[in-house]
Amino acid sequence: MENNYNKNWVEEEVEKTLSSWDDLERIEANPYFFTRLQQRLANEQSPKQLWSASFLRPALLGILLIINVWTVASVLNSQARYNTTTTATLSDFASDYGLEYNPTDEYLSVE
Amino acid sequence: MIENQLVTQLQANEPAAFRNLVANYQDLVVNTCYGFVQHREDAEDVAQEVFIEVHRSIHKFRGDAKLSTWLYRIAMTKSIDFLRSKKRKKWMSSLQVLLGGEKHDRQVEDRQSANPHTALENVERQEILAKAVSKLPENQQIAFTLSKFEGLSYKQIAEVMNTSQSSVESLLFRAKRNLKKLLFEYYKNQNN
Repeated sequence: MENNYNKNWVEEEVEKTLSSWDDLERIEANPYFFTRLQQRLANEQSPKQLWSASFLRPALLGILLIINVWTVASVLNSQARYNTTTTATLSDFASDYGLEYNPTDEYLSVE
Repeated sequence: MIENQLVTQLQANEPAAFRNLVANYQDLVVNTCYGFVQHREDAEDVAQEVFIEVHRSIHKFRGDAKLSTWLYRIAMTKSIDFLRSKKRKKWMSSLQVLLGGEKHDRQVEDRQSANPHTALENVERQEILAKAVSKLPENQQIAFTLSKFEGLSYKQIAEVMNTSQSSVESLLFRAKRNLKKLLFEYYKNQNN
């Protein structure tokens, strides 16, 4: 008997729940719906603007290339100066201590 | 404004036309999306995507179907895409819970805030029904939501879903039968 009552209750609940969507309140769109939509559309279109801005990319690349060339040239130049200075310092040192390399020494016999 | 006239203006890129389109159809689109996603803010986000899609592809619209049918179709597709992506996120979130993170389930709170004046009991019933609907196979879910939520006729649903009226009848019959089963199980467990 109790099972029967339970079944009736369950069936009644099922029917009530199934019809609960019959009186659903319709919602209204947010008053700022169109404003937000305009913003989103503008954002959607912005990649195109960036694409058009890419015409400036060759110029930017050119500047970067010049900076790179200048940097490499500066580094090489300073290295050359360092090498010259180092060679000069070494030959001074060798001269001071009599360690200079003399190719003619190779032909001298050691007694 | 006559639909055809609006479409012609939209295709001619007349600035006021898009505003008119949104003003005339925003509630229809938002409500359709709400029927599927069951969350007000999400419904508005999806509705915005619907209008963005319209803006993007209005020049391809040939006018074979009514503008509203086309809008329903885009709203349905975008909502289903949203639900699929939400399912994937939910799966990831479950994984996060397993790894010690927090789970976010805001469905009950949001639905109550969406219908503040509806009796609490009915809100709970609508919640339970929404959960059961979300467990239906996709086509049954679409047909049932368009029928119950938007009150579309079999003919209109058939147009939106690009199928026959008899298929819609069959989908709705199976949807109701499955919902009854799901709800029966739910209340049976509640009663025990």
